[in-house]
Amino acid sequence: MISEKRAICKHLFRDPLPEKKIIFWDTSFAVAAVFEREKTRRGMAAINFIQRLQKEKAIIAFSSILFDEFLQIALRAELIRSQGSRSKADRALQEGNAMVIRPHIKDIQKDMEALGAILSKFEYRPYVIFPTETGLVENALDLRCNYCLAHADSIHIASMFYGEEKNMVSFDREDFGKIAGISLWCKF
Amino acid sequence: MKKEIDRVAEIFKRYNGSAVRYQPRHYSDKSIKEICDAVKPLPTGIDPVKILHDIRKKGYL
Repeated sequence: MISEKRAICKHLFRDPLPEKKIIFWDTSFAVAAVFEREKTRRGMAAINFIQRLQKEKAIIAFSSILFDEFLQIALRAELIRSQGSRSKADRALQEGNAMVIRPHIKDIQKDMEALGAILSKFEYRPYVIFPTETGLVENALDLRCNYCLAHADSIHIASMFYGEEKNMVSFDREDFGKIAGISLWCKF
Repeated sequence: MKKEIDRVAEIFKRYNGSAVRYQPRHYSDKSIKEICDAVKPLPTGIDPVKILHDIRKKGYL
């Protein structure tokens, strides 16, 4: 049953960071910073918030699936760019079309390295949580059923709960906004 | 300073040492903005957050 209570939406710049200054990252936040950057208000907000986290010596944490999702987006975005449409890009991926995919490998590698470079900028090393931690998948499946979440969303939230955190930065307000009891850093 | 040490220690304890600490092989000397600017820009009209949303709903290919 979906709760009527929802996440509390926090402003990226106007709200003070949580007491222990630990913020969980959703993939949507990282991709907005890297791929949108100053082209959109959202991208610019993401970059400025990363700079704020860096300056205020925040500790960041995220699920290991963030790397995988980030890679998927880099790959899809490159193929949509070259193929001109999402359906053609998806077809090339389904077929494993080497002629289409291979020319983009270096750019995709650069995207991943940019993510690594961003993560290297924090004073305290970020925490990466794997879905193999005790109780994490059980909790994720519970969340999935209770809130009708996509698989990845439930893993992100369960990973955050694993560390007893309640603060997540994400631009997916539609899905993460459903979770009662968390603070969703999404306003800018 | 003690407060800062306590904050970091408390978080470390909470994770019980089991979460992996991300240690980059290379530490970038560029600013966050410079790092992002070096990435090939997406053409107008491609929304990466929407692509993520689609991947989550439809699954990987």
